[in-house]
Amino acid sequence: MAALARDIWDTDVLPTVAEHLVPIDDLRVSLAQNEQAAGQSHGLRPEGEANPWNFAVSGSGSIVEANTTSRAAKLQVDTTGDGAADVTVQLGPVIRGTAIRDAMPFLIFTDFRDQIEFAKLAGGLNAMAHERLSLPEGDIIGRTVSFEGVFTYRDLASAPEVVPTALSFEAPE
Amino acid sequence: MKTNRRTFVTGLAGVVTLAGTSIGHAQGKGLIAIITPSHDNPFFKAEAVGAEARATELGYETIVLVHDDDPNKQSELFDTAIARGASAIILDNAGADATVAPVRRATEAGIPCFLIDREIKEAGIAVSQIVSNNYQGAQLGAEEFVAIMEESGNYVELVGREADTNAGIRSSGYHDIIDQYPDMIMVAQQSANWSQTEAFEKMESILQANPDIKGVICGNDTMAMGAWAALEAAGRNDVLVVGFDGSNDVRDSILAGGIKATVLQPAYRQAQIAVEQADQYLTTGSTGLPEKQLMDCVLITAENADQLETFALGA
Repeated sequence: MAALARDIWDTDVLPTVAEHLVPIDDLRVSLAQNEQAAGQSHGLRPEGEANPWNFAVSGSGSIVEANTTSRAAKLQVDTTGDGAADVTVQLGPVIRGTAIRDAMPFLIFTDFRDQIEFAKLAGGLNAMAHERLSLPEGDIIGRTVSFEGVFTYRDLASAPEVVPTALSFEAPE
Repeated sequence: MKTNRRTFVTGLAGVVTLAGTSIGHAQGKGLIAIITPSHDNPFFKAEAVGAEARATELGYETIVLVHDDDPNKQSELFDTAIARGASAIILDNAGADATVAPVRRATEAGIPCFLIDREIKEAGIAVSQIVSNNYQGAQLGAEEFVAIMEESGNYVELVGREADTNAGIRSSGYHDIIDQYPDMIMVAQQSANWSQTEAFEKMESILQANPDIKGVICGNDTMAMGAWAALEAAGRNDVLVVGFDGSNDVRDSILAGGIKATVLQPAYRQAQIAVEQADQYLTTGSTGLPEKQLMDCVLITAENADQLETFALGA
């Protein structure tokens, strides 16, 4: 499954993210107005009851907190400018969830032998996301980061945990 | 709701004994056979009750059968359903490999099969396979387990039945999280085959060999109940236990300060969805959905346990 994830990353995954990309500020407004409508116009999810929406988003903000030594490394980013973190960017190598897999309309559970294979595919895609990232040296807190990526929507109160497909850092001031 | 006349069948042609079999009658849309593992585990009972209730509401007769996780018995039950001319079969199966053949046999006999909870190893035979997102659920359970263990200490894992895909997927979901914490040390990993009594016995002997354990993570709630009973009997109420399923038994234990957490699988709703898809398929020739469908699980702790009832979370 790691090989499949690598095969489809540049040819299928990244183009799908690009095609559905929505600025996170706009999405936040749409979700606050009407979750279902926001999901239908911007979201991606497998068919069936009780599947949460996934969104491909772009955004940028100031890094409020950075845990880069953990196996589950993360950045906490303030995208609204109020000083508080409102987006988590997952850096990995341990990346939670199955957002990238579930946002790809061409990855159908039925095509896989069982949940174990399907879970390995999700893991392979998360591993690709991690592999393509590079972090600058030194202290990054306070620097501005721009990201594109996918997250699984839980509710308005929960900060999105974005799995990045692109990440860039502005030079320190 | 309409009252069903229930007939208890204790034997069938002297070949197979269908203990606890019940047949409900309703008007005219045909018979739906509901086949699950033993109702001794309330999870499977909730599935059967959910499916039966929805089928009756939709105007079907029902026959409720249990295979006790015995593939041979399951095969005989399929023959029963075929012989009785069932319109559809709702199934929680007795093994990912062993179930392929009977599902194919029923399908070839013109009886569409709708699977819940457990997958089979082949796609394209059953009409629907609706399963909990066990991997996602296991990760939720593992994150809570790591948090209450404060990221360190010796622990035990009780795994489910090996023939069941769900045992493997939950274990790998647990370890994908737990193994990232180098101070979490697994001192024993054993299968208790989803069974409460087996979990009790395994836990007793594991505890003798490893008295210095801090937590036990279990592949399902019945094993969590067995493990907790053994720990309590040994005066080890300090050990942190996490389960998986969201049973009322574990809910009560959580609320009483016993077991710490579980992961709710929406079993009741899942069974109802399977019946709704069966009805749609029988009526229109298609469910309009892909065969394999995942349903997300929800973490249950002391925070929300009081909202849990019969494998469903209230408002």
